[in-house]
Amino acid sequence: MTATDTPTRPVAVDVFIEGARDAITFGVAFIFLYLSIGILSATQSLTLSQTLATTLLIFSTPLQFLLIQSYNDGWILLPVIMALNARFVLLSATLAPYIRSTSTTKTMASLILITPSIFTGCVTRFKQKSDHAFAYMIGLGLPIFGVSIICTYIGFMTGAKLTSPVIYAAMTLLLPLQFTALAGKHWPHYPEVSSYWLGFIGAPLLVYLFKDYSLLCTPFIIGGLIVLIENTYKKEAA
Amino acid sequence: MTIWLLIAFSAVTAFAFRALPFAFKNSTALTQTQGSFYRFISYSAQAMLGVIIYDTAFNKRDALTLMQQFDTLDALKLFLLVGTFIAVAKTRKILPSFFASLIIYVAAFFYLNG
Repeated sequence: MTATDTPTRPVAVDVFIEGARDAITFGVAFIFLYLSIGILSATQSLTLSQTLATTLLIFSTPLQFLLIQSYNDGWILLPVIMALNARFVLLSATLAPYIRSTSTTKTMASLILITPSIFTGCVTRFKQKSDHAFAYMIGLGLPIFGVSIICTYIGFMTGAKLTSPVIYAAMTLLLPLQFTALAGKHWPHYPEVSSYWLGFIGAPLLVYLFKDYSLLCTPFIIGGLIVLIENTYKKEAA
Repeated sequence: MTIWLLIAFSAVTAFAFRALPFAFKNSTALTQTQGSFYRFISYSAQAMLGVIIYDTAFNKRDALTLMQQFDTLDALKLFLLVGTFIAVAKTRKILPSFFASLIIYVAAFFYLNG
């Protein structure tokens, strides 16, 4: 037992540290995003506990912004909340094969960390190295989650004092730059890269067809199309 | 409906959707990463990121509205996104191009908005 544990444990710790190091790339964006969530909550008359609960229990920036800004709309929000949360199925299903050997308890406890940013960081790493995938996910996710909670608190406490047009301008491009940079890391995996850019190009066009459910439907159309093209190409090549 | 009920509903559905695929983690569809189903899910997830990015950067504008309202900052955003992608694909380093693009955008925002 000791003989197998001794070489494994330091490697898992190293992978955890590798994830934590990569979290620096993402932490920058989360600082701005969660400061804004805190600030916005204060201006929308939410209490500190309600504000922190959105980060601690939901940890989804678009949904948190929606709740904070529109909670007065009440039950009308329920289908939109379902639609926004349904996207997590895609992220979890993509990550599942890499962390399926992890115990159910550990997996359930770490589910809150599955967000588009952490997902992208994980997939980028797992395409190259998939050893100790769970340790990497935790190493990447925990610091980001921690920073997000702290920034939500700071944002709420400082309230409107931190509001600046520059922060909002930077916010509009922080996440897009971060995801696009990570998509660049997928190069030359053409199907992944094509899916990403087709999603980007398809968003303003397919919104006419799918309206409010574009975020839910557009990705499946593109994913199906790319698989179809890839399968046809493979058949011809074989 | 109180904010607490909305938070609870959001938390429960977020957890359920995050957990659902793990109930099928040992099924062939999810274990064969070269299979059509897994690739479909994986590419759909990438496409979803593309949609999120467009919605965040261009404020969910449809194609017609974007063309009508297209301004210098929109053009710069597009240029920086494509530039960042090419720079990372070539250098394999994320942070330098990420920060360079962000600084350029903030500087342009300052300049254009006085």
